[in-house]
Amino acid sequence: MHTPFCIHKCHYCDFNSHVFKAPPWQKYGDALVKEILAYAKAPQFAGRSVSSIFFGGGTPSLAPASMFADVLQAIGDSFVLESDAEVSIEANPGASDACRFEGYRRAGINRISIGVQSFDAKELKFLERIHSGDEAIKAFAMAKDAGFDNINLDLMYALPHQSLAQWFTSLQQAIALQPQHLSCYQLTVEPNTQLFVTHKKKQLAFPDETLALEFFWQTRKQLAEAGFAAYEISNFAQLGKHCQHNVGYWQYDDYIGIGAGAAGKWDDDQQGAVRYTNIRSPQTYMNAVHQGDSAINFREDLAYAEAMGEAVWLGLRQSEGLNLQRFAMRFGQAVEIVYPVLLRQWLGQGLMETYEKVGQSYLRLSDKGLNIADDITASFLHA
Amino acid sequence: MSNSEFNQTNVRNFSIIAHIDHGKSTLADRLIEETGALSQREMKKQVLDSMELEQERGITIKAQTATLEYKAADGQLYKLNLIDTPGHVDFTYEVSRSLQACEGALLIVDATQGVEAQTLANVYLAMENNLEIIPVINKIDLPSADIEEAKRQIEDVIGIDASEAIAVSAKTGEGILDVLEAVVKRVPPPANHDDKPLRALIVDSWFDSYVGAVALVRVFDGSMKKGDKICLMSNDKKYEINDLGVFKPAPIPKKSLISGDVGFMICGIKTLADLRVGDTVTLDKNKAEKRLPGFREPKAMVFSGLYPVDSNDFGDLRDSLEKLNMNDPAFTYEAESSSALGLGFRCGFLGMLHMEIIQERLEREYDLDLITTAPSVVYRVTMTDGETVEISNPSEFPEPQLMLEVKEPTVKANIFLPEEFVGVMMKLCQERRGIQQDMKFIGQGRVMLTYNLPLAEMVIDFYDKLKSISRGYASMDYELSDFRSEQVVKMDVLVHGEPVDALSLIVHRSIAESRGRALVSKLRQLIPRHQFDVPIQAAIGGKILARETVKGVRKNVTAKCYGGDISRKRKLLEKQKKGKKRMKQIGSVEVPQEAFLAVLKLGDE
Repeated sequence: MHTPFCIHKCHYCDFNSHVFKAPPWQKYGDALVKEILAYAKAPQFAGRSVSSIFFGGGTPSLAPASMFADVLQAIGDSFVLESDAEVSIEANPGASDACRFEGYRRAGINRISIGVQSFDAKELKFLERIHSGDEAIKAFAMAKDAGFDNINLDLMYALPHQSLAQWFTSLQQAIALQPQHLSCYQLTVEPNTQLFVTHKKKQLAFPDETLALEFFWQTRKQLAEAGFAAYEISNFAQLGKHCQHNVGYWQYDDYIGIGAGAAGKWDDDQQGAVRYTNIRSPQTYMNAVHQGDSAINFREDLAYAEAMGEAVWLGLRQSEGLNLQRFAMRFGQAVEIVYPVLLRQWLGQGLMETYEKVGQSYLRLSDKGLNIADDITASFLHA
Repeated sequence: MSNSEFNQTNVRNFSIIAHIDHGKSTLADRLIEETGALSQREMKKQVLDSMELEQERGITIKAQTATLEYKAADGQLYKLNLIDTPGHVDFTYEVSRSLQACEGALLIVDATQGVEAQTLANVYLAMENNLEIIPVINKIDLPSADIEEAKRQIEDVIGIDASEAIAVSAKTGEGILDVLEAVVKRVPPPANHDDKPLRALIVDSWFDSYVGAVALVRVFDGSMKKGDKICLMSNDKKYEINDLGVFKPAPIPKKSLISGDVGFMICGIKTLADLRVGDTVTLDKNKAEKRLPGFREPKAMVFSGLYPVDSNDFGDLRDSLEKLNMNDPAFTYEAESSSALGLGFRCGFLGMLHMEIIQERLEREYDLDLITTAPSVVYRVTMTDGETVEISNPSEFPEPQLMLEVKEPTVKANIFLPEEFVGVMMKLCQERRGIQQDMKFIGQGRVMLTYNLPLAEMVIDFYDKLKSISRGYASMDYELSDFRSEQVVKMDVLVHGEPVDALSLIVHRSIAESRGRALVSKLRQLIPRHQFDVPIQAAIGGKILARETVKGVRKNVTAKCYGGDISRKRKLLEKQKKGKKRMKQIGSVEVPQEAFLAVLKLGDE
């Protein structure tokens, strides 16, 4: 579920977010509900159970709890919402208040992800965040006080001029708060962002490759020591606290995307898959939904072979790798039969490995392979 | 109207010769427009430059012609055959055949630029063909026009009388009637040789997908009519004339062409190789004794290897070359095999522009992804056993101990440029092993430099360098000169330890080391990073002269990938992957197309 409104658009952000002084919450919430009711009737989703919900943004923590209550009500009414379903919300420390957090909890949200990014004032300023380090700590406390016992903190590293020591100060501060989950992303200059333009003009001093690798591996080491296991390239959790929703993306599960710029995916009946993205402009999106039109403005139909490539690519992002039984079940063919040459190449070079875990076999990237994950995973894509 | 309304007295055959951009096509347009051959509305900006490529490059590659009917001041109607000429040094032979078909030529000189290199080259060709040359000073509408200076340069630099030069503006139309009058009065009419056995010169030929090969002919002796059985004198092949006519510039069918006429001839010939420019057409039942002078086989001077990026496209490349060769028999092709690039073709071209045109047409019209190897020239090698061989492919260059002597082709280049650039130009020519032969001040602060230069140095971006160091002000033309004995050696390039034959080049010993260093440094920039280090080395006979390393990729991980990002992130990865697909796999290294032409890009950063 995407909430595309922000107080300020940070220069590195390439998500669908728009600065609104007073977002039209009622109208937007109504559109979300309308979309849910429509999907409940779509043959590929009708009657299915929902195991996770993610309210992302934008800044969903700007929205009144009532909007989420309405949406969750609609989901409960139209689908089978599993009793232990994970329901997450993203919160900006600069747009958080205790009262609203309690409201979210009461509405049925049971996991909160706080966009801390850094505790360092200079770094926060560079990132154009609207909050301070103290506000981040306060937001965490508020979430705990509101009854959240599954909290994630988002952090960013490898910023221009950032030293390893500076990064570890922020990382240790985050660990000290004892969240259940940490997402640590290397700052990436994405096309179509303000940062992209600035970097092109000024050539910002991002860490070189050697240092970036140091950041990457040291982060894993420190987090492992603190009890956070890496379960994906940038995601770490205490035992059993993986984000079920995100894991679904990497395991090639179906998901419905609702809201402006939201994306969804479902398996089609030809063993391929469909991906779609909604209209990005909030206004255009709401108008379309309220007129009873489809909110989808991009759709791609992935053929069988393309879907297989995606499943391998996404699966390999996980630390446990691609579950080979699941793959064979989903596609009717073993991965070794579909990609004999690539597997021989990557396994032979020691960039991939296979292993068994509780009766299941997996294919994963080796540590060496993880460094160049894109080169390896892209080779399976059907381009 | 039938042809008989005009006898030879009222026919004029002429060409326009000029340096590029001096306004040849604009003047041709204006003449066509003035004589009403096309209405204003039908006029494209430049009607004579018809091919897409030509329009883009602003040059005329295939000659075309137009027959203009003009009522002169004397009250008589004249038929003026304008024969267009290609404007580049590579096509000197075609230009000379076009000029051979004429009795006169308009020599255009830009009133703001004066005489330039191609002006000189073209006017000498016209003189060789004994044409009446009418100087025309163009662009007089421009504020910086200096008519008197242009006239002075025509007299001083070219050495022809310019006192009766016609001042015109092809753009505004000023002086156009004077040009037409001068053509009528000063260009001699063709001789009446109607009684002799047919001899018609093939001025140009091209391939039309509907009718097959089309020839533009100039009838010198006798006459030809539809249905005649003709014979081509170079190969004795016989055909029946299906169609005859003239261009106005649209093709207009005619029953016959008589001596002095210029027109087209179609006889169901399937391949252009059988309809050679410069050949003579005669009648099968009444053959002429001798062909018209000047026919020669086109001689390829610049060679390069063409390989399909995807080796499965070899058959397509062969078919495309075959088809293109029907259109342009001036280039040669011969299958060859490279250990690095697989099966491909060694192609010979008239010159650098010709090479670029053929490559572009293959990629554009035939949709092929090609790898082109760096251009090379023909070396005459005397082996220790006394035998002399011609080598045009660096990978076939013999070992030094097997050779007594190597001779390389040279050219005589005339370079026109403003004085201020003489210093840098002389430095460039020196770097390229040029020998200065002359330096003339031609007035208005301009200089003509004459150099003898190795052709091998010319084919590697000499013209681009000349243009860039003179900020576009220098112009150059060249003609082939003699072969010179030189100390040249073969340089090999090793990628990841493997010699890559397609990257080998022949280079003068004195500059081998510096060129080797520059080349590996350029290759380091062009070859993408792999998952391992890729060393690149330049070597002569096993001795390494230069080495650089493309460092292996150590990190390439997308940090964020979930939710709405998946389609977009996948497309980014697919794009990276597609980029790699267009590269050539050499061993375990992917080498991009541009790398094979790296030697042309040395020194640009």
